[in-house]
Amino acid sequence: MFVAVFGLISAFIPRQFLSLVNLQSMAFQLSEFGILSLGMMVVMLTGGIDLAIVANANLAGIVAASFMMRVLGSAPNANILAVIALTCLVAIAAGTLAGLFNGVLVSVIGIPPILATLGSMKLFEGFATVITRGRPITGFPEQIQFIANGTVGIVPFSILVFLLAAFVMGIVLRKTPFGFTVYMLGANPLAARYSGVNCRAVTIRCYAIAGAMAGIAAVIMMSRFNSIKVGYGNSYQLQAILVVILGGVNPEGGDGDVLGVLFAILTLQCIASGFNILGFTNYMRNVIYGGMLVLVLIVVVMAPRIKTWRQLRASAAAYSSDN
Amino acid sequence: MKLLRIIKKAGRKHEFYLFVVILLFTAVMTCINRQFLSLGTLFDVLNSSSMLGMLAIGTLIVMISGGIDISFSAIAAISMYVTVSILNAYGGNTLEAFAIACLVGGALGLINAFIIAYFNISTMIVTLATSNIFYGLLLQLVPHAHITSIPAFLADFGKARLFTIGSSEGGSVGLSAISATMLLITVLVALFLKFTSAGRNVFAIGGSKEAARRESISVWKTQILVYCLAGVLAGGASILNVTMIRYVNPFDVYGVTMDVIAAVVLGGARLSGGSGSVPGTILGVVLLFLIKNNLVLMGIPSVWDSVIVGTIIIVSITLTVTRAKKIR
Repeated sequence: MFVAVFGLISAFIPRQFLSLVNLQSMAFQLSEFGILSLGMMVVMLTGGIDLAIVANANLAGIVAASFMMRVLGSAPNANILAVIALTCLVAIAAGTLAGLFNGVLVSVIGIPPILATLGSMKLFEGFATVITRGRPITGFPEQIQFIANGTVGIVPFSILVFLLAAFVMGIVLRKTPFGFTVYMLGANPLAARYSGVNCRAVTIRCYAIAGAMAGIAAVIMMSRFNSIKVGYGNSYQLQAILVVILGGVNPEGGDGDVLGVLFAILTLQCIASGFNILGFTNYMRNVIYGGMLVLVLIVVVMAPRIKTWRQLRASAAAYSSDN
Repeated sequence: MKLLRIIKKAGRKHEFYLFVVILLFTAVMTCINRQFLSLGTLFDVLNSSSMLGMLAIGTLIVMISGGIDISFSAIAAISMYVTVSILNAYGGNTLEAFAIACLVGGALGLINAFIIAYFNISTMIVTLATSNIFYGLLLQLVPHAHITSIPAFLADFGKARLFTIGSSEGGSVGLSAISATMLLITVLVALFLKFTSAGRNVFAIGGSKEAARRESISVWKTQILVYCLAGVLAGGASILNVTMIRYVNPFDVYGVTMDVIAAVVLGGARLSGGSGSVPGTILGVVLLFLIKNNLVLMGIPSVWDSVIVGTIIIVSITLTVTRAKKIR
């Protein structure tokens, strides 16, 4: 599918699309939204959904940014690289904490994931507004821009972060006992519980992982724009869900893997940058993403049904020819 | 003894708690500002929360059926814009305004309904997608979707009072046509849900689709009805909003999604379906409206708005969920 889309777009607008600049800028744009999608994926594997993931990233970014500004304000001579490293840790810690909060709401209290994360989305947005009073935080040290805008050779640094995150996530999901329990929980929570899986702990951890991903994305986001503000990245919400479903993750949980999501992310990024070259507005893009989401969902849901229907028909035919 | 029993029985109802909380809140507000407790305030609240109330009732029906609809605010935004454009071009009357808006809303709701009922896929993701499609299309086709001049009869409808009791600085105090419409719809929907077989079917498919199917209830017909009705109510609500603010601003309407869902959840509806009541929802709307609009009076700056709404959602669902566990 990725190949098809890539080929289609490069066939239509080859000169702009296949240029090194465009490929590089695609790689640049991909990372934070890719990392958010990885977080969304873990949660959706358990059959949940994290509507708060973008608000979480935003809040984590704002907490980290205000932390950094305060440190730099009180100790201007501090080692800037150390401060930046500390800021990254703060962002990830804040994201994880917020994710933990979601996890507790969903698993310990037992609120349906949609409502829990809807509520916490409002809550996170609110705290972000309270901290910043709606104003952007700007004036970061120059060095932080390397995270999102720097390159190692011709490869952007942020894409390496994303690939590393995807790699770790793939290993965790496929090769560790924890990953196995995630799939079990998503496929059949009751069966998982009767097989001795601590469902609460697994769910909490999944939401915490999503939160950590939001924290990493927050760092990249704030270094890309060299500022952070309430509402940055809101358009990633729909995209993240779209990509996860496009990547073959069953929205009811228990099925899907990192590789599928990875290709879905690449596909969507190609489409997005194709749109950019064609000059579509943001509104139109939302319309198309929404349409794609519905179509993909229909295909995903209908494919197995058509398969069983065909099998039924085949067996019926075999039965009637036997007689 | 009998009184005690009545109180005990009421104590098991969600609506009772909501009512007590509203009374407490009113008492607190009256302590802060003596003028708060008046008929004027009551009618004001009823008037201003009408749109939220009508949207909330549409959402309630969807939630009772076991789904969730996020696209109602996009539907409202579109029906509002389309209706006022048509009326501005061709003229008409208030009744026609509601008819057109409800038709547009119902048609958009039908799109949701078709996708959800025919393919049987996650209502949240479908309506999230259609919400983006509807709203995106509106803004793509008409980038500045504001209309500042609305037909005179709509403005008159907004100012109309069914009866008045004295007057204050803000104009005459009394039941407005807007709140009367909302209350009428509320009563109709409550009767529909309680006393018609189609209304009971909504509860049935929310309780358990499989059980409903075995009772030979047509799940997909009921779902189509539910999402169309939600669209129709969203359309009607958008006209209430137009008549009240005398201005078409889709951005405002689009922004109320979370508040409406919060109010419905506050009203005791459960996302898993099969439970929820119209009076509870209206109380939920009123409580949320009171809290949101009186933060400033209580000395809390308006940046805390989202924090408060988020907290209300989380706390109220936590209460509902833990109570449900206890009963089980």
